[in-house]
Amino acid sequence: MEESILGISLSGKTLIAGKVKNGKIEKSITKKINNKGSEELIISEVINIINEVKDDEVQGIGIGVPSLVDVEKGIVYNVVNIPSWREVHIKEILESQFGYKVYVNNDANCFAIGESYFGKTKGYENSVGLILAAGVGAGIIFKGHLYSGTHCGAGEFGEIPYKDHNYEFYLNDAYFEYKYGVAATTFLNRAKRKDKIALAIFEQYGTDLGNLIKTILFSVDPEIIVIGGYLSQAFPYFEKAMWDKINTFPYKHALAKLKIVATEQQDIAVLGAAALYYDAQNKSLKK
Amino acid sequence: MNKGSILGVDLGGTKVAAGRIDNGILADVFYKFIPAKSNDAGDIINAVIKAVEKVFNENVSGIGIGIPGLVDREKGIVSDVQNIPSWTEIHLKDILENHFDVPVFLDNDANCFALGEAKFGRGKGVDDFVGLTLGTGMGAGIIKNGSLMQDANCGSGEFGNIMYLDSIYEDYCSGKFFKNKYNINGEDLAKAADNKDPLAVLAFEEFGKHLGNAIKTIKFAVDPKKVIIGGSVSKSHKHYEVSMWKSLLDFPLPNAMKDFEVIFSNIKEIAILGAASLVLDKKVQLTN
Repeated sequence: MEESILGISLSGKTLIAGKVKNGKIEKSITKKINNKGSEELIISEVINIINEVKDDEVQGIGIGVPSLVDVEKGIVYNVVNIPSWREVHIKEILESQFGYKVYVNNDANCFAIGESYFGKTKGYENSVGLILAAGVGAGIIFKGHLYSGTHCGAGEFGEIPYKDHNYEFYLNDAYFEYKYGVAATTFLNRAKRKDKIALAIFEQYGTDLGNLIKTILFSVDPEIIVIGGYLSQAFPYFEKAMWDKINTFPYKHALAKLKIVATEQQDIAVLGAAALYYDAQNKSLKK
Repeated sequence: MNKGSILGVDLGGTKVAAGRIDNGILADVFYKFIPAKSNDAGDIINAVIKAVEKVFNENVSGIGIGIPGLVDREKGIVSDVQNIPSWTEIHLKDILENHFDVPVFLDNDANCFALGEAKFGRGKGVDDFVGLTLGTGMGAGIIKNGSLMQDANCGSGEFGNIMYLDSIYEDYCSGKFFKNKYNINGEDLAKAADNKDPLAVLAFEEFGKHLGNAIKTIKFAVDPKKVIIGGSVSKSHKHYEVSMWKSLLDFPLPNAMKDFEVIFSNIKEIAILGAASLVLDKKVQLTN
């Protein structure tokens, strides 16, 4: 990880680029972009920000995008909140522009591999990084490597049916507005002041989240799950109800070792994007 | 010295099957009933040893065993085995290694099925797939690059336990569905469907819909290229394949459906071959 890598995070209006070396962000730029702009305009925004952050040391680029990704070819499809990006060959575009190796993956996978290299799941072979925000998605780490599945679709646990909808419906941040007519941020502030209604609502959230986590345990059997995304801030308020539900998991031996934590890494989007490069290098060393 | 043989053992609730594979071909098989309900765990251990002895010879380089229960792979300890109540914590690896003096590997039976398909069956050359067994229960093993996923507790692929409707997938996607809802076993129901019995035809159609939903959940979780289905219920697939696909087609990510396949196992003795594959899989992992 001595190599200097540019980590890029593109999520709707926010574009961040950082130069990462030895697990530290040496320099970074955050830009607001017009997410409704044309495909070419947003590509040029990405190229410009890379030009601003890169220097002679940089050896590669990792980029995280909220979308389905063809990881091999580096193509992103139907990017969330960027309507013009329906099919962008971002790897090819950036590699021919800059001459570096470029790795692309979705934001949940970047989060999981970032935590595995630089965060709470460091030192664990099998982990899951779960994002609770506008969407609910996860990245899976098996034996220290990112497992993306055949179409980068692994870890889409939010799409699994639950109650009358699916897990994402009950666990994304817009649900609070939809169900109670009050924004998630408001409840978060009220919970901080020990407001009883807000605490009860997060307790229900913890129960639903506990069911999702059991589904993850049955599917991929990790040692540790790290929770990120905006709603991870509510961790202290939903933690107990979440564990009450998880404790009904039938395999007690596995349960006794399981750890669930909230992220503490502010810059995980950039670090995680850079970690795509390290993960790919480690894989090719193995082969 | 010829060490070209491996040995596979399939332990079930009523019998144990042991088979020797010489140069990739199943050469000798022996079945033995086990006193599953015996209070003495040693009775069942002895039955396993006797079955292995029948097919063991000096060319065998390792033994793999598939267990219908939870396994600590590293330590080779078996616990919570279906239908064998006396086996609460059996150090099976140590016991058999001491007896036969070759390396012994354990895993659960669904993982063995998946691995058997990867090494000997329809999963050969497929990088990522899920081997799904539908019998009295529902289990699965996840294959990545031709090898079993090395998870934390040998507990991945337990999709049958995931919440579904008023219960869990296993109650709707295994023989349990026919038993609970129609009070008939899958084999008799398949015969009735062969004779175009309308209720039997409908029962399989319903089953296919639920199975399609289970496969969608598997796709969301691990996104495999294929699902290979085995177990006793796979044999009657012609009765539920169409409704299964109908249920699969509304998967919300069309790109991920384009080259996706669900196929059915057609290998005899896949449980023995799969257990023996643990020996091959271990060698691959050690050289990586």
